[in-house]
Amino acid sequence: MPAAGLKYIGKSIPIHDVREKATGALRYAGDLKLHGVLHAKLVLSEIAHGRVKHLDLEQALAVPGVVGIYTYRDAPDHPYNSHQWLEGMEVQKDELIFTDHVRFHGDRIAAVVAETREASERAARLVHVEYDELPAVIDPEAAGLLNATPIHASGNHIVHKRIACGDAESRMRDADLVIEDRIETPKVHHAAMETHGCIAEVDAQGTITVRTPCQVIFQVQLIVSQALGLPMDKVRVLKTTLGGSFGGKGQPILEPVAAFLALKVGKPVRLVLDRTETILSTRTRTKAIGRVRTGVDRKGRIVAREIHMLVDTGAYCTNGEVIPMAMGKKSFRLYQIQDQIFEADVVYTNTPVAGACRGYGSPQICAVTEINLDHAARALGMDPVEFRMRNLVHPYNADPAGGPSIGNARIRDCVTKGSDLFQWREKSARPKGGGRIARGIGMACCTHGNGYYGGFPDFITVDLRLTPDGAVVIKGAFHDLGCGTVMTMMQIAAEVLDLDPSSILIPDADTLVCPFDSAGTQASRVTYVCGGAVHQAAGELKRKLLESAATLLAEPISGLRLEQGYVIGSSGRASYQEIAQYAQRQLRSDLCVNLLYQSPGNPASYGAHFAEVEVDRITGRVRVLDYVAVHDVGQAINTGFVEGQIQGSVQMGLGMALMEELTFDARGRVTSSRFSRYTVPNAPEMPNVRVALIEEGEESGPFGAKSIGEIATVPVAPAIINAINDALGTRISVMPATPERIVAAIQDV
Amino acid sequence: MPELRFEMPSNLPELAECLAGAGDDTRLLGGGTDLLLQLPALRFQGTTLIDLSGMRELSEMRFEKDVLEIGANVTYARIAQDPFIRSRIPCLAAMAARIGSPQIRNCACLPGNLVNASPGGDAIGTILALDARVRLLNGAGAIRECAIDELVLGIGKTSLSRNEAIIGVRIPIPASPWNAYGKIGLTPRREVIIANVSLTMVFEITEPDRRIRAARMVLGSTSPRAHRVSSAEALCVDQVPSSELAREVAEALKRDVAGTIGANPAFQHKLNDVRGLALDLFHELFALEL
Repeated sequence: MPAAGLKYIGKSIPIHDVREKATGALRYAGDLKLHGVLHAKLVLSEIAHGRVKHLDLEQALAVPGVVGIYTYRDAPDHPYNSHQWLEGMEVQKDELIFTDHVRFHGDRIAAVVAETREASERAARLVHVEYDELPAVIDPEAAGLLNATPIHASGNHIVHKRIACGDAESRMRDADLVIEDRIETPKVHHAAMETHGCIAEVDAQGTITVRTPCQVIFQVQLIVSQALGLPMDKVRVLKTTLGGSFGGKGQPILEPVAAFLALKVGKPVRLVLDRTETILSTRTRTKAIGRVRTGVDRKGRIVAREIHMLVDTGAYCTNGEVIPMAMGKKSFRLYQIQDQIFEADVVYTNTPVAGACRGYGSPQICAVTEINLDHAARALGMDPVEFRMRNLVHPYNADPAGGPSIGNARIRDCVTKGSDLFQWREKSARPKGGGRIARGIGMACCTHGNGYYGGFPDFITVDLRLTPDGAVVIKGAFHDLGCGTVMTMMQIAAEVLDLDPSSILIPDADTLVCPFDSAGTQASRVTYVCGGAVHQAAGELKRKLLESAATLLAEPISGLRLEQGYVIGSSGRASYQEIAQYAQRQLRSDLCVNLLYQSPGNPASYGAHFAEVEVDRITGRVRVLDYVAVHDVGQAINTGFVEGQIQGSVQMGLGMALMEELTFDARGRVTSSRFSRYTVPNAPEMPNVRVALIEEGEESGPFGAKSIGEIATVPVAPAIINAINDALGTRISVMPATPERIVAAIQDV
Repeated sequence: MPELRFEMPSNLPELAECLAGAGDDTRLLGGGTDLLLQLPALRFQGTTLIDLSGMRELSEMRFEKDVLEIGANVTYARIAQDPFIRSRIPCLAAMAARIGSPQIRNCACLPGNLVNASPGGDAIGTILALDARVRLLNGAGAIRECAIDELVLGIGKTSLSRNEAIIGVRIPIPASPWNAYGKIGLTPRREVIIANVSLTMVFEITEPDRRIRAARMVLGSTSPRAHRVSSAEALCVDQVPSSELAREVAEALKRDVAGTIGANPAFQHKLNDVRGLALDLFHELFALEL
């Protein structure tokens, strides 16, 4: 339903490329057919830690069709950090295109380039690697202790971070009860339907063009230029259609490799991974072990909290230094806790590399703190909803850690509405079931940001132009990951300009065509920041349109209004097409806007989720029976997309709660490197997810909108774990809560 | 590159001719749901595929007096949906309804699962519990029949020789429909799963005293090949189904699993699953409160 007084905002319009997707006409990176393209296949480490002693390429080179095999001996020695998105950011540069010091099962040693995919695959299997195996650090709690076998020369401990407000230590002593927990969240695979892949080619001038499903074109450009030691203008990046990302394609992983190979062979090179390679050698959600102490008084007020997160970033740092801060900031913006310490330590392990993953640390810290809060409520003999309501923030509360304003924070509305929809009170009163099947309910609250304001530079430049045929072209580094970014921008511009969205064109992001954007699709900034830019730029275009129309119609601007592609005056009307042509012919002007938009703030988004589960006490199997998700989104730009994001997020969070986990053998080799061993929840696992939105508007957002794509997965796992604990009286502390862990927890009760 | 050769017989004599020329690199293509996954690797070695899909006579299900014959090309989807099988051999319908995913069931057929000889092969246990016989054709055009435990010898091992093909399965139709199948996944998911434990129970029950005259119980995924559990079967003979019997049987099956899995920590959860599954099947068959 469109919002009151609005024509396009709030309407559910299908994604801009729905027809092409549904008919299979759309081409993903792996489908692109470039003339003369060669095929690359990576040679990945089969061990978790070691040195390559000897590389025997003889048999592989003899495979017909092999063009070349390139190894750590050939690749440039320019370390980079794939997480860096702005020139000059301080980062640990510990990655290389290929390495002979392999640090995880899946680390890149070499690549085969061949005329056919089959030949590249065949030859890659025939590359014989001899290793000097080193002890592998798999357990992050042991990583610091095992500096005897450092994963990097700097040691295995990367950084310590701290955020604090008030005096948690002394206030903790005043608490009536202190509830402590140690909670572990897993390393998970993003499981986007499209695996990682890209194509690179070099032209006669030595410019490399990389076509890639990515989240930040300018970051890809930066990293490729760094890794190859080339000027940035020698690298052009075109975003291809994404078949899902969830943060997994946020960092350039294959792009520098493909670009290097293309430079070597002088022909286009296609590098597309299969599922196992994507699981092993791309990125994962950061594993975290949280220790939390929450002090409460008898009235159910949180008086102090101390949190420590041990962050396992895997074999390379990537965003390891940033993710603990992203975690920490959230813990000051959900409940009114004036005395709190958040600390984190980040370590390397010999496990697949962590990076961005939907929620960027929030699902981990939310799981740790929200499960702990349920334990606190239980210890106080208080209803978990009631307990939270006594502590949640109110709109415009100050962030005690000094962060940006939380804005029109409507978490309390989410909880109230969600409790009613879910029938929390009625369900609480039901017996748990003393037999084989137990039933329980749980809930969790969450918060997330809207961009980088307050942390990193957050701005975008956009070009808007009204063409002489009456269409609007918007150029900007928008990266639709499949979730409707492009249509969201179209709807914002359509509303401002009163123009059907089908008359608006937004080309795919291209570093050569799009004006600069500071951060791409990261940090839940797209609707709030990029949408804000389109909103403002469209307003500017509207002003220019009216100015020209005023001359054309010989009427004052004040008497003009826009309606469905026309400017209407008291004496007549002119179509946008006529006005644009008039401006060109008579005014020697083009109706275009170039706008630099700096994010005005970083309000918090909120959500509350409620889950009802049934647990089999014999087998430990869980069925989620009912689910309610309520989100404070300010204003939905496209209600269908918002609901879609929430539905998918619940499925993703359910995976983290119950089944998804990268597992390792004793030597650190991944034992869950394919979908028959790495289980993602499928449709039969899904309950009917009931979604409700709180749309009270955020002043600084476009039409009042805030973020949804990441936050919706944040509270899912703790809501489900809290429901299981409610059913069984257990204290499950390790996710995923697999049947084995649930049966063990029952035995511990 | 080595060649991929393709043969497509349309009747049994033609199939026999193809089989006569079969070598170590020959593969039979049925529904293709397993073979297609292996194809990229097979392509490198040079392979002959014998595609059975053109053999219409293998696409039939024939109901004789007391035997059901399922041709090698009959898909699981057809087995799962067949009204007669659903009413008289519900364990077979249930097994077929839960193997793989809907897409797999629309293509895959019984023989592939049998010759893969995986410990988790869903069909093997049910075929064993139903005391079915497998029909095989050889390169000389001769047909032989064997029991499933003569065909499946161990993990990935069968007695099938390289010039033989499964052309069908003959299943004695149980006198009464007191049979059921269930499985619990290796992973926490409920559907599209590889079994951590599968169980088929086939009871012969006489009316009106509703007493069990004979029972066949087969466990899958708990040992290298599906096997009958005679200790659990013996508990049922001359008993009237009851909650107590269900619990005894569940414990007997659990003891059997404990014996086959040993101390391997990766397998210990099978003990919980088999108990739960046994109670589930008793509940399903006899509506017992468990």
